[in-house]
This record gives sequence, structure tokens and C-alpha cells, in this order.
Amino acid sequence: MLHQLKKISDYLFEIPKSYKPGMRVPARIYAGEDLMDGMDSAVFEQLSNVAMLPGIVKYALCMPDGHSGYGFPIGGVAAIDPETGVISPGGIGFDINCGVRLIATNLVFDEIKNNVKRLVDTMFTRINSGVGKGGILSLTSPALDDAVIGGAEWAVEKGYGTARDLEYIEEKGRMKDADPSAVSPRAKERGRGQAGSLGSGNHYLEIQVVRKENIFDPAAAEKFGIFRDGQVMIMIHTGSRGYGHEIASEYLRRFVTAMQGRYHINLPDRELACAPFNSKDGQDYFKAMNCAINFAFMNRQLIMHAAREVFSDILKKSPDELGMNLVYDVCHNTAKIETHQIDGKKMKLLVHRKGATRSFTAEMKGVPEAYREVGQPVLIGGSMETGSYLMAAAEGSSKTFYSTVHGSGRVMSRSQAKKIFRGIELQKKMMGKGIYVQTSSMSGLAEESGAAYKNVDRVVQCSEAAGLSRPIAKLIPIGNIKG
Amino acid sequence: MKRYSYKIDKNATMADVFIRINEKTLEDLFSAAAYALFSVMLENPDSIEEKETIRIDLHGDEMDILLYDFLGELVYRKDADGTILLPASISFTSRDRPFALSAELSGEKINKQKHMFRVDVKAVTMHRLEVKRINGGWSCSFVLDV
Repeated sequence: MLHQLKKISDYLFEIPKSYKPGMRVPARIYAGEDLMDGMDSAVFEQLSNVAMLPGIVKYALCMPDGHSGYGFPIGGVAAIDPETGVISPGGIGFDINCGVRLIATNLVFDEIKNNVKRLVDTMFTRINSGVGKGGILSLTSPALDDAVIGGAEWAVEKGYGTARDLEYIEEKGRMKDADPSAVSPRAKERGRGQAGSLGSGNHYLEIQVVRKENIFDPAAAEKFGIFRDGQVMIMIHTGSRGYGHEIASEYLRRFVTAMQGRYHINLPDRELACAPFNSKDGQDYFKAMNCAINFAFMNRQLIMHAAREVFSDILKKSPDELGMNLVYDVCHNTAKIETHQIDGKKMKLLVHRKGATRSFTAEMKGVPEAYREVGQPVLIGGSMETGSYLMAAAEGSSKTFYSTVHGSGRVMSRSQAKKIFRGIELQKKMMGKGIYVQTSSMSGLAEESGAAYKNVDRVVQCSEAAGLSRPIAKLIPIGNIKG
Repeated sequence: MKRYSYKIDKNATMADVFIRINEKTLEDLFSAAAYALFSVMLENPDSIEEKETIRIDLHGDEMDILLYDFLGELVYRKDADGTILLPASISFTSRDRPFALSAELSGEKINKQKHMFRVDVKAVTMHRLEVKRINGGWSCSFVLDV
């Protein structure tokens, strides 16, 4: 561990402002000592670089699942004063609005155990995964513009879901500042054939089961729609596909030039390239990024609709009869304007979250009416071997601009994982554990082995101990489509 | 198709892929970078057949940004056209600022029965992106977001 690290409490460590010239604020990491020991040193360097961003308020933050990335660490949070500060595409990531969606059913495992393979195989056929073009929809350029203005709302209007769904999506599935005129024809061309597709890497669609012993707060779980031992759930993890990747790539390129030439900002890593939020560069990116956020909402909505159709076709009941209700949809790669209390004063902030989940507590605007007593659901996508978590926001997240963990966080690089594990063996091993996996890439599967990730239980414990979010239920995989 | 060597630094980044390449010429450096990109994505990059060819012209004030643009073009074509393309020829039409290159890219449409994909490359990042002269040759490094 870095020797300059100061232990503030059992679950909070600080890198002082004096650690590196140019830091405007200290950097803080929320984690237990064991997770801190396991963090690669690049996390500390990257987080202290984030602390140099103009306009950053209070601290550069890293969540307990943090690991090194490029520019920002994964798990990084930076709140920036939009009046004086910048927006940085690197603080959001290339996969803008990568996020997680959880769908409940009223089924229990015994009712589908003989159909898991068929359900997974059919969804694997119907929902495009892996590399390249292909999605549930191929949109014309004008239709794509409409889709990214409307987000999930557009998908529902086109018949892919219900009005109820929109109540259970962060921002109700639509960012109002989306403006496709800020998106290049190239980005549109790259994304228009991928609407309703999973992609690759750690993206997946998973059938999961909640066991009674894994329900930690039955009352809160019931509010979120979990009420039966063995209840079947569906989780989707994907983002804005090539549309968002291209927007991020192009604006990063533009900001690298503008940052030094026009704005005279010097940062140690060009991946942190930024522009003043109120400049034309900053505003153009913000509008385009919001289009990509909406693309991702629309993407997850289309995939959920396809999953509902497959369950309905195979189990011969309508999605309503199967109780296939959306629990919630969270973003974990965004920058959003939010109002926070800073030193007793209300302040508008541009909160960058890269691999971090918003964690709004019960009383906050933006939490669905039905969840007012519990708080915002927080969805933690774990590894495909070990399981995922449904959590709820906790009061301590006021110290992190209402942010918390997003996943397990890697402890092993993809190259290392590929050397150690073989996809075909892993698939067999998972089958032995009762998890049926379909994948478009066996070596991609090996990279996602459970052993390549931190212990998700420990990540969840740390975020609870740090007061950021609390576990409601653990979700155990039984079927997985890996991109 | 010519094969090139490249090195993946497995300890440099946790979730992404950090690549280093040394070559004698700038042309080979860029070709090797393209080969490395598709070797990250494909089990069998040599399966890409030269069935269609396009020409691209790029220019820029920094050689590393030119590499970013060049690799970014290959990533873009994969999603936009569904084609995987490797450079059949590259020539630097300006070796002074602004640098300029002209390349013929050859390849084919993605065929998932034939092209065995490992993982998608979402983007080329600016993190640790570098092109420099070394010992009479050239080297580069870059991180791919996968």
C-alpha cells in the first residue's frame, strides 16, 4: 500500500493533496484494508490524477470495487462545479451508460429448472451478442435520432415494454439534454445496427435465483418485488455499444487538442482530457453523451422485451402472468448534473461516475414512489460464477455524492485469466455448479472466470460497512449468455 | 498476410489490454499495431481474407494521435460496416508535421462461423499512448478498451 495513505476509518483511506503537485483536492478510497492491499498501485496514481481536474469539489473518490483503468480508475467518482470546472469523457468511459437492469418474475426455480437450457439457448439466438453489427433493430439515421432523444421511452412507444417500466429506470430512461446534432454521422453509422445487442467482454444476460438464506432484508426485498424462496430473476449488463464508444473516442480526440491549445489545461494523462463544462466543446460533449445514455437505456429496454418474449413463448404465459416486472435499471458510466449539499449549502454538481452506481437515499427526488421507504435499488453485477447483489442506497452515501460500488472489480488482468483458465473447462465447471452458459467466445469466457474478480461478498460488506449501500438479496446465476 | 510480433503487458492494466510493439519502419509499426488489434479480438486473425479493399487518408500533428486515428478507423469499420480490415499497404505521405498517411485496407465481412472472436475492442484509449523512435527503429504502446 502507498505509504502516504492516511487511514481515516476502518473503511476509508486518504491520499493527501500533498502527494502530487497539481492535486486540487485529496483523494479518498472507500475499502477495507484487505481490499486496499489487493488494489493495484495504478489506482492510487490514477485517482490522484483525477484530483487535478479543474473544478473538482471535496475529494476524488474511489469505491470499494475500484481497480486500475485508463485515466480514471474504475470505481472513480469526481464531482465538479459546472460553473468553473470541466467535463471529462475519460471520467465516464467509452461505454457511456454501461449499466445493469434487474427484472423479477413470479416463478421459482423448480418451475423452470427443466427449461433453463432452452430459455438460455433461445435468448442466445434471439439477442445478438459478441462483435460487430447486429441487434434487435437496425435503425435508419432519423429513427436513431428519435431513439436517442427518447431513450427507453422511445422503445416503450414503439411497443417494446410498458409505461410501468419507465418508472423503474434511473432518470425514467431518458436524459432530457440529449441532442443528436452534437453526434457525428460516423457515431450514428456505427451504432444504428446495434440497437438491442449485448456486446462482449463482461456484458451478459443472466437468469438468477434468490434463495431464502440470501435475502438479508425481507421487507425491503418485498418492496423490490422479491417475495419467494427460489424466485427467478433476470439481470442484463450492457451499455451504449458502438454508438457510445464512437462518441467518446471522437470527443476525447477533440478534447486532447482543445485542452492544451484552447483552454491551457495540463494534466498528466491525456485520457483525462477535458473541456470547461460551459464551453461549446463541453456542452457539445454533454449533449452527445446524453444521447449515448439514452441509447443504452433503449438498448437494455429492447433486450428486456426480447427476454420477456422468450420466457412467454417457452412457458406459455404472458409476461404479465409471469410477473416479469422491472425492478430497476442503473447506470454506472455517466456524468450527470445533480444537486448536493456541500458544507451546508446546496450546490449543482456535475458528478462523473466511472464504474460507480448512483445511490440515492429514500427521501431523494428521483427514487421511484414505490421505493420511498427503502431508497434506490443498487444493482451489483458480480462475476458469472459467484453471483450478483441487489442492494439499497444507504445514508453514508451522502459523503460520496450519493455513489457506491458497481460490481466485483477485477483482481486479475484479462491476459492473466486467459493463461490460467480455459473457456471450455470453465463452462463444464459451471455446468457442474448448476450454471448453464452460452457464449460467443470461449476465450472471452475464460477472461470472465470468477477467480479473476474480487470476492463480491467482501465488496458488498465493505460498501455496507462504509455506509454507502446495504445488501437486500444475493442473486445466484443458473443460466448465462455471455457476450 | 504478414504476421507481426507484439507484446501484451499483462500487469499494466486490469480490465483492458496494454500493447507494446517495436518495428524497423513506421509503416511496419502501424501494420503491426493493426495486426495486434485484431489478434486481441480474434483467435485466428490470419483467417481474414482480402476480399474487399478501401483506401483511407489520415493526417495529424502528432504521430501517436495518427496511430489513434488509424486504429480507431479499423474499430469503426468493424461496427459500422461489419468488416474486419487489415492494412495491405501503408505509406507516409508526410513525415513532417502535419504527418500524413495513406493506407489500403483489405479484408472481409465478419463471418462468425469462420472468424473466431475472443472479445470486442470498444475503443483505443489515450492512456499511455506513445509512438517514438528507438535505436534506428520505432516503438509504440497503446491500451485497448475491451
